[in-house]
Amino acid sequence: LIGDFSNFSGAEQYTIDAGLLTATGIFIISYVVIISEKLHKTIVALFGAAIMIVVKIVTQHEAFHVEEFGVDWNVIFLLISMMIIINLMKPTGFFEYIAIKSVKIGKGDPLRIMIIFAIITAFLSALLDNVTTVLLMVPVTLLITDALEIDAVPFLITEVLASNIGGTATLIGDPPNILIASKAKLTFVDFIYHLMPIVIVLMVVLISLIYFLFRKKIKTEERLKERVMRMNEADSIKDPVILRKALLVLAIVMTGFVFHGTLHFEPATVAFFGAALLFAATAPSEPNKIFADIDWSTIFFFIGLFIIIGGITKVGLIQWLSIKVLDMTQGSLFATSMIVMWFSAVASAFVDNIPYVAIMNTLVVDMTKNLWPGETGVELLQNHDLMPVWWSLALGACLGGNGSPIGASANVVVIGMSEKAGKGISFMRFIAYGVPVMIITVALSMVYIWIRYYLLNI
Amino acid sequence: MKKGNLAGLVSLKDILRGIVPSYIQTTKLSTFAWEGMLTDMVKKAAGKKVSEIMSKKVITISEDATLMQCADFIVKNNYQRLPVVNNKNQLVGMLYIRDLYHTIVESLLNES
Repeated sequence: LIGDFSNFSGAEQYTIDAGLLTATGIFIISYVVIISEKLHKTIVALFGAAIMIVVKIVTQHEAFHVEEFGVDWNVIFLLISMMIIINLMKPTGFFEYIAIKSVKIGKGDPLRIMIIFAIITAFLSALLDNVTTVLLMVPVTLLITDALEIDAVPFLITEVLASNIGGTATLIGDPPNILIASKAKLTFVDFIYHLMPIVIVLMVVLISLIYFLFRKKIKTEERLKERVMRMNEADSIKDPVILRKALLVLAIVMTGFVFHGTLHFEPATVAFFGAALLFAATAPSEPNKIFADIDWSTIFFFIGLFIIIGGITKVGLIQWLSIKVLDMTQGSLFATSMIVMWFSAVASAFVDNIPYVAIMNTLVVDMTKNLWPGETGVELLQNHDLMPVWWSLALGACLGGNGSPIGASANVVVIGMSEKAGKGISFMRFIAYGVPVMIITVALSMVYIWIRYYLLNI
Repeated sequence: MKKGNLAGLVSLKDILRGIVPSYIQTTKLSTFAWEGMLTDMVKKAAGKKVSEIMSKKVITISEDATLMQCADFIVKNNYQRLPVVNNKNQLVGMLYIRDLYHTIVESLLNES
């Protein structure tokens, strides 16, 4: 048992007032409408946020300028800057180059290509967001499977799975991690140090599964292999000068991420600088096109969400919930870690993991305030005993995305693209791969958390 | 769908769109197309129905529209033809770009 629990016993400290009821009402209605998909989630989030401000649950000042009750601009600018960097990188043809090159390294053999594509997807997902990664990988995959005259669906599903696993490894890999990092003031290196080892293990497991599952199933003819071997990866590079500049900036950005903690820069500063530098280096004639391609819908969804959650935090709903959780786990942080991981995984399989993690973040922070009342700031947020809870939240929320076709944005995008190409992925076909992979990866993560943080305590 | 109403329009471009895979249309991957890919894709698309490839959102023009309106529509939207409908939204004819061209030539000839 960690912490002293004798001095609080739940809800009696809180009075239920009009503010609490209003904020809770706005939150629940927004959430229900988002889940029902009757209205686009961004519209709902903005509307809910606007109401929170209009009824003065949060003031405009709090919504726009106070991180605790409003927009976390660190997250917003990290997302926008990364989107700009990706939009500037895309026309260079670099990603197609990598994909075609890897097909040739795989000598046109379908099983090898499937494994290499899974590795590339995981790697790119760790550095870019998952949706961008699959948007780059799916068209090449469809081209190659058409050329080899084999079924594209197993390739596409393994890429989705690899993308959700790979994205777990870094701070910028998946939106839940961006949210957690900003809340807990964790660095890029923290994520690599704590999550990369298990992600590598999970990828080895995924690749072994692919190997044993498809070893005998996917075959193609020699003449079709020659078809892909004749493709020249260099054809995708339209402007080598711009590409060289872009790769140099990308290297600087990645170095910046590695050292942002030591140099005392926020991750958003690194990305913001990278976006500006890449803009200056490539000097596109129409910057408007790059701005227009930013996923503004996602950005505004985050903005609305932050304000709604700010509202329910301010009225004390989150605090009340956090006490309930502590009551339930009797203050055992090991139990909390395990519950957080499995609950997050199951929840993320069915609901958007972004709002889920945004709420869990505030819940965890409130919980820690109850556990260690004397501590504040980074000391509190990164309390040694709390760290496994953050990692469990990240692992659960990211890996849970594999549990259903709607578990993560990347899943939805891939299924949409493959349907458009006339290769529909049915709900059941996705589940058949996704659920076992989700259960195996979360179970292994659980063992990892237990061994590393509770048994070995490193 | 009532009898006489317009279900959609199939142009040569729609047919090409039905044959060129979506992953090529949305990317620059045609660079990597193999010899004979088009014929391969034609075979794959052969079973498709008209309803799968036709343009469903067809801009129509009313039968009492002016020629200037028709010309403006064609120029603005880069159309080759405009289906003409009556006030019950039933198809009564087609206006082709060449019909307008004839009118233009005629009026020029009459002037001289």
